[in-house]
Amino acid sequence: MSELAAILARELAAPPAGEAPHLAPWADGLRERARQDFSRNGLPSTRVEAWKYTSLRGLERTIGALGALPAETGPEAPPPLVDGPRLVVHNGQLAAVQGEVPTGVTITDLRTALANDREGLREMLESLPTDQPADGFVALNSADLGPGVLVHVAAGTDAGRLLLQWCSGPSAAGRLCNSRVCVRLEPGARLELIEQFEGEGAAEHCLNAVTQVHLGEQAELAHACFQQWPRGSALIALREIRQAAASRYHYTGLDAGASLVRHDVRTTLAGPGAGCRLDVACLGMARAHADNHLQVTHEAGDCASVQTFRGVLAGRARAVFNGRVLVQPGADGTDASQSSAGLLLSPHAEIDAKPELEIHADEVTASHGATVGQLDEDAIFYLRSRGLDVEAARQLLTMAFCRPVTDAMRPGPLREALSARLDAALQALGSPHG
Amino acid sequence: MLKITDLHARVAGKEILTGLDLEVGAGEVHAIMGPNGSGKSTLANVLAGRDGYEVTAGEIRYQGQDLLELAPEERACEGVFLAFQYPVEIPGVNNTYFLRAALNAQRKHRGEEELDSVGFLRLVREKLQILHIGDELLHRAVNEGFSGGEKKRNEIFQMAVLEPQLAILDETDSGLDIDALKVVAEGVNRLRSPERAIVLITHYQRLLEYVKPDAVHVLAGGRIVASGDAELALHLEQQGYTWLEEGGIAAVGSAGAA
Ligand SMILES: Nc1ncnc2c1ncn2[C@@H]1O[C@H](COP(=O)(O)OP(=O)(O)OP(=O)(O)O)[C@@H](O)[C@H]1O
Ligand SMILES: [Mg+2]
Repeated sequence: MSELAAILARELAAPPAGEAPHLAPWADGLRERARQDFSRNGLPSTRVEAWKYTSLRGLERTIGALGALPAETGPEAPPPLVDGPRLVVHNGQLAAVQGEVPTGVTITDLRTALANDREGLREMLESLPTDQPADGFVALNSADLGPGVLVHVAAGTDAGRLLLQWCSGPSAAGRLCNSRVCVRLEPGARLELIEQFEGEGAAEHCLNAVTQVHLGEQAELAHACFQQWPRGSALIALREIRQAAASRYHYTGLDAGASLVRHDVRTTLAGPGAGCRLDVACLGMARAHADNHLQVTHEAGDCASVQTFRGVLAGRARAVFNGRVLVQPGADGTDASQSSAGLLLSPHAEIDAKPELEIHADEVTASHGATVGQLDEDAIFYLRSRGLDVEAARQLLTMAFCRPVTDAMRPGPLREALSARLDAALQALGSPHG
Repeated sequence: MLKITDLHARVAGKEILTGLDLEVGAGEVHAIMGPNGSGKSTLANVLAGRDGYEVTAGEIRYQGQDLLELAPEERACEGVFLAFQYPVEIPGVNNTYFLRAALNAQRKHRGEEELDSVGFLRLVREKLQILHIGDELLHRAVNEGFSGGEKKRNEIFQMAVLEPQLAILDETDSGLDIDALKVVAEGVNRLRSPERAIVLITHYQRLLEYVKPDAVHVLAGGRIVASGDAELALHLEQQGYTWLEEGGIAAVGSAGAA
């Protein structure tokens, strides 16, 4: 086990006095099981297949303790990405609920929710495995269960938009914070959930966030994430989504910051007619490392899934894309597609893309395509021949390259805000000083 | 306007232009004809400043400047426009957005105010109407999935909006139906003015029926081998280039080979 894992395991075993939360016995049991799993497995090494491209050495240099910190009021949350009600999470803890939360939507501090069993929370939390070596961060998160938030949307409610702002205060420097977000949409409910990872805060810190989503029949969740944390910070984010019949899940991920990013987005299409779309744009510069593992499990028949990955890498940045589609026996009539494309702006940038299609059912339509390359010189010349300078031409083409990710979003203020952030981030990436 | 002297150029290590001379004055329309592979597009690309086209000798003066000193975008901003023989498809870049960016880059270079979207749209509508082309191509990505003829129309549309000083059309009339050919002719004739020059690279007499050239040149083996008036194009169409090689040029009474 790594030194960091050993330190974290010791901290988990002996929580600081006076901080032990009062949880329901089942929650204590879950924490304890996860703690044991973590003591046994520690953090995943590159020998673990799912982590083979992502070394935690950088993290071990910057992180030295768990961040079981109180929410800070110190640094302001960044300007909201979009208008509407918002949750401010500081160092993993729910710090504030701002704006008017619509009727039918219940926001609960996770610690409060853990004192009993609200809205099937127990079943949701217990469904997440923590015992495999690849699950190190999940085990760590579950062992430290407490900070976070539960979002519940009642059946048939169109909850509109909810913004979740992740902030870290100066006291998070050198620490790893755990947080859990549980989202439950009852049948027919709709929500647009936006996670914003932005702002200065503590540079050298790590957020280990686990988000669990349950979508009832015909529920719809549009889930967007924008991450532009300062260099030196790390984000480990797992999203586990379970979808009932005819539900819709659309994930749009946009990473343009931090030094280490790991995204796991795993959707299970558990009821017939469900559909999901996982779209990710990943921008990297300097020595940034971003690992994206997308996974769709087709459990039920007649479900459709789409995965799109666009990576733009400059400097010595590296991106990993692992897109997995698993079609289980009986999931006949599945339609799964995947496309991944990488754009390397420097000879030292690197991208590793790996599609994994595993099909055990009949009448399955599955397609995938993967490309990695540079900008098209003919296109650059064409643009220049019309008067655009090299820089502008490259920028226009780079933006166009990522366009499929934002174009798939519903038109509206969120799409506009994300497109604008994406363009600005690409501009910074393309500039000679980027 | 444009004066090319003893131009030698190489592509992929091979000498393609072998001492080409050409002079095009303001207000003139010149047609360049010549066999496949003779170097017509090479000349066009050298004029536009494409990478990989290496000028080994000679000179190109454009409006008193050394054209070869300028980057492609500087040439564009100085009024040089090339309608590509094979326009490039650019997925994800909206045609209108791109053209506005290009026009504003050129206006900025000339010290003019940039056009806002309202002003630009007005200009676009006006040009579409003059050229009798619909607006359906505007909303699509640049040339992406365009038919051959649509790509050529799009080149002419860009030319109409950018209003260049020197327009070089590389086989813009090839593969066009009769309506599209008229669009090209209309575009050229509208652009024609005492202070502008136009070079038409073409294989056919057809376009020249709509656009009467002031001079016709034959490019063969990397040089201008014959020059004449509009009659020369007619003869070439009827007789082919072998006629020329057999000394047919004398029959036209042209200014003679350069
Ligand atoms: N990028 C290149 N690499 C290698 N050879 C080239 C390249 N571009 C042009 N050539 C060669 O240069 C010669 C002249 O080509 P060019 O395209 O200028 O001919 P053209 O007169 O325009 O012919 P066409 O009438 O068929 O359009 C040809 O032999 C062509 O194969
Ligand atoms: Mg040609």
